[in-house]
Amino acid sequence: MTVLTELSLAETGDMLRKRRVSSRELTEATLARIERTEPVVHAYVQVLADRALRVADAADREIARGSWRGALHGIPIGVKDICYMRDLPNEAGSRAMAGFVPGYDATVVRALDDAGAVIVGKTVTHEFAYGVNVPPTRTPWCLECYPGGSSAGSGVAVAIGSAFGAIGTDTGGSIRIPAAVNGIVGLKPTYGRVSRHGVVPLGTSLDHVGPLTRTVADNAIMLQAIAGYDAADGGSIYEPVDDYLIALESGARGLTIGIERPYFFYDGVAADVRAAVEGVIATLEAASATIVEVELPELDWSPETLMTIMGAEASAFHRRRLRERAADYDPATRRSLEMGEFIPATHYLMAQQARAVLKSRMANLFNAHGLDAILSPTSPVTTAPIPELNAPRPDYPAESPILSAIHHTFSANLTGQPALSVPCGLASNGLPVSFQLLGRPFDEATLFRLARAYEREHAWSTLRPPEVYGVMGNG
Amino acid sequence: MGYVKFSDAAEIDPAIVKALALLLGLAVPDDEVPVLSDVVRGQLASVQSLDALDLTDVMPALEFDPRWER
Repeated sequence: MTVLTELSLAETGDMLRKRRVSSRELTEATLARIERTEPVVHAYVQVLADRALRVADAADREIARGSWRGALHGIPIGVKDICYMRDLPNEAGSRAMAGFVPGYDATVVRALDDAGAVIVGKTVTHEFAYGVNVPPTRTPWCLECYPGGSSAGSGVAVAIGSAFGAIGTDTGGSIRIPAAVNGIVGLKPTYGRVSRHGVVPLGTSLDHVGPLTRTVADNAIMLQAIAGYDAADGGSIYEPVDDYLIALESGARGLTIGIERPYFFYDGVAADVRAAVEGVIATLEAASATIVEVELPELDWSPETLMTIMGAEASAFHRRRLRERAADYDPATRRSLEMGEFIPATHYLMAQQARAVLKSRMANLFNAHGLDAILSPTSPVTTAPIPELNAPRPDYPAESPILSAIHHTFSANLTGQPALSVPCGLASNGLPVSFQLLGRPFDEATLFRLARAYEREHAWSTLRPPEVYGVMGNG
Repeated sequence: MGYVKFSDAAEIDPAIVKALALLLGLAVPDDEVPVLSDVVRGQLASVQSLDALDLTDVMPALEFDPRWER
């Protein structure tokens, strides 16, 4: 028997178009899945059952009269609770925003509505997407482990089948890390590719909105629906939007991939992760991609540069609220925001200078070697039990699991280039491992093509977390 | 001239941090001042790696545009 919530977004989209399933059936199956899994994983802060069923019925009526809007029409989707939905509470995971009800939709929500998607709920975020507190969300791969953040709810909902895709945001890795932890695909698009209008900011010059999905094609479908210029977002950039599906099956032949070992394969990369990602390189080389060894020493600057910029920008945004509602913040978030106020303007500007150099050297590296992408692990480690997050790693005591987790993701937020995280197996502890592809600005299509070339050979996207069956049952 | 060097970051004690918080208009609870002092010391040490860079004539990425020169 086909379990609807186990299918990919692309498969269900095709079934909807051919009217082999209705959006109401899909939505009801998703809502039932939410009801069954939520007591364990806590991926949602709000489930919008009535709204979702109304939208689903409207989608069914439109499709029945031949007005199919595209592959997202009638598909149940989750949205991170920092993206405004008109007349619905948006609390960004914080008591400091309790009671806030926006009067308009975020542009990304409007784009999903225009595509006919059925938004089934708002997903859990770390407080204000800062990623320093630990939300109640649990990854189905390991219930006592860190679920990834800050788009934790979006990552878990997609992994467990309580959404076919979800929207997340990424300021330092908050789409890619939960994607990697939960064994799914996550894209941080190019800076300016997807509008952030109506999305609570964290670091205004580093924030990105993007999709989390179970397959590469699903991710391409979602990006297609949400990409585009938006004058309401000061960071939005007017660049043509590619057709992300047209070259998806073109394979890796003719593409050149850079491997930067000093930074991305440093000693902190766990042995299982290293082996899995070396396997990806071998697969893509066998698929006729050209592999080139490269070096970019400026990557070493990424952690200090990003933390300085993000710290200052986040604290600037929260300055007033912090003084009015300090007690409503989680103490860990509040301390981070206080710390950000101690960053001198001179340090902030110096970090923006370092960022300009990093971006320029990255461009030079791509151009000098004719690169289409740089490939690395998404995270040097698999997820870890929450109590061990800040303790020295037994295999690499110089870093804690949480410090390692963010080591590889920061640079793309600084350069603004697109970064795609794709599952590539399980470590010996049974937890997912992923690789990351960094691309040229606005060339998400090539990242999807490379990722799909790998996915075709290794269908990790069909793997489901054991807890789905062990704790919550199927269906 | 008496500029504080990063090696002198250890001299940043809770009293200095409390005074700085006052200057910023932040009401930091007394019991959290030592924690914040540690953090400020760490911040100064961490920015040392950026301070070592030669950023002469580099314009900061304030109006950020991810596109590369063609």
